[in-house]
Amino acid sequence: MNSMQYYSPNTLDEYHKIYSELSGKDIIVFSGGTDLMIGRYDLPQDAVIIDISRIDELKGIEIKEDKIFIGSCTTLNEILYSHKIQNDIPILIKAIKTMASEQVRNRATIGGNIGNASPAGDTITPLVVLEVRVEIFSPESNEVRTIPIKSLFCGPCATTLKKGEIITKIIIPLSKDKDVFYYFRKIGQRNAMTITKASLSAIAKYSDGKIEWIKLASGSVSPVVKRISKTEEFLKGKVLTPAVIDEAREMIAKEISPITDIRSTKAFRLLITKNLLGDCLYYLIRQQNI
Amino acid sequence: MNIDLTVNGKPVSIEAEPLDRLLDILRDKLELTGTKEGCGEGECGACTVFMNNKLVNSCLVPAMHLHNANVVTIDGLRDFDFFRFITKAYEENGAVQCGFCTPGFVMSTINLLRNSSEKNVGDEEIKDAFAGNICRCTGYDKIIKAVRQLLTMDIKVPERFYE
Ligand SMILES: Cc1cc2nc3c(=O)[nH]c(=O)nc-3n(C[C@H](O)[C@H](O)[C@H](O)COP(=O)(O)OP(=O)(O)OC[C@H]3O[C@@H](n4cnc5c(N)ncnc54)[C@H](O)[C@@H]3O)c2cc1C
Ligand code: FES
Ligand code: FES
Repeated sequence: MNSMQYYSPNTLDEYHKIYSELSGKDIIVFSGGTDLMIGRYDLPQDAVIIDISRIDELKGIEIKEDKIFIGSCTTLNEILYSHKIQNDIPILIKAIKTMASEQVRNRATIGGNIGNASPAGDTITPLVVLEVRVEIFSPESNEVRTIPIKSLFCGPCATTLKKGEIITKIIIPLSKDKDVFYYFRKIGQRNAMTITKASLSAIAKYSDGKIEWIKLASGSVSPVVKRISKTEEFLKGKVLTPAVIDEAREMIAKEISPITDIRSTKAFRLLITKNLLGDCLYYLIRQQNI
Repeated sequence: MNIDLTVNGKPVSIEAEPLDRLLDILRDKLELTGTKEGCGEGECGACTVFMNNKLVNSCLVPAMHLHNANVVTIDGLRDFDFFRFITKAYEENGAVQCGFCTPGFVMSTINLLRNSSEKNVGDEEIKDAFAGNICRCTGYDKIIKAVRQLLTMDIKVPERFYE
């Protein structure tokens, strides 16, 4: 392998200083490397690697007031084993449990999963329905800003991040609503270690036999993960009868835009997304009857 | 770049490029060939090692992440008492056929044994523990049988190695 230039800053401030001396060079932000190592021969050899894995500010999970902050370099297993996340954000636990393997989850970071911006990225749909904000550090200005996660993605594997910018934190608002229902399910080639062909994340509040509100996001069925807002709006205030569920299944199919690729076909993705929504809504009814 | 790390308890110093894989460093530079390469993409687990006490795929770890790291491979675990029990259970249950996947399965077995006693390990936990290991020969049943047998024995596996 050719020698690539790389830096391993210990602080964001150090990164800012390094950046100002790199005038014009391409930058590859490198975290756990579980995505990047596989394509390492295709990386532009004149780019500079910025290894952010030694920056302590980017690690760990913290609760402050009504928010949970997850550092972008926190590994998927650190999140999986965190009591805070287990208690307060079970949908994220459910999603991470389906991801990769023990070996990969010990290296893969949440910032890398979001930064990779794959429509199949399994932490993304839960984070979209949780309406999280992401904090971004600009090495140019040496400042941070926060944006809603939905403004981060602009195409399959493309983000709105400018050159050298890194995600520093994921900020999850803690819900004041009690008894919120959550759902995550992904469908792949097999059960374990599988890339998502289609997935669905939902959180909802059900009261007096009606859906008070529901938030939905589908994975792998549109160029960027986004909320399924028409179907959400349709379900609001509804009693979940089989007819309503059938109508919602038809609606979600119109709101997504799946493609045929090496992993699946458009028709199959449409069908399983409809089935996932049906599964989710029937599960909601069962939960209410317990 | 020059990297100082510990491998199987011994300090080593190596010359490598930032994105060279730990797997190649182990096999080619340090001649620790118990660790195997199957897929080179994090899928098969043949390259599994402990890094800073965590189970990882050595094919996905770049050299630049190895400064001061503590790496433990299957070659460094053979002399521990628990290793003999694992070998025996794998042999008795026919859990080794071509053997290529075995070093990786053994690493995941060690990780499972040190984190659990039989009580909290059900079928789901066993499946999860081996989600990152592929075997093309045994059909898994025999490996799972060996692991179940090991879980019923009171085998002492240290929580950390060479620290
Ligand atoms: C065997 C295997 C199985 C997998 N299974 C799954 C799965 O089930 N579900 C799934 O979603 N993914 C899966 N992945 C993909 C991968 O593990 C995840 O996407 C992981 O979270 C990436 O994190 P990383 O730290 O390794 O990223 P890296 O490889 O370091 O980086 C990935 C991308 O994100 C960018 N990036 C990294 N950190 C930041 C940051 N802080 N700010 C901005 N950009 C950043 C990098 O520049 C790069 O483009 C799997 C990978 C492997 C090898
Ligand atoms: S060689 Fe590393 S997982 Fe297959
Ligand atoms: S014994 Fe041959 S791959 Fe597992």
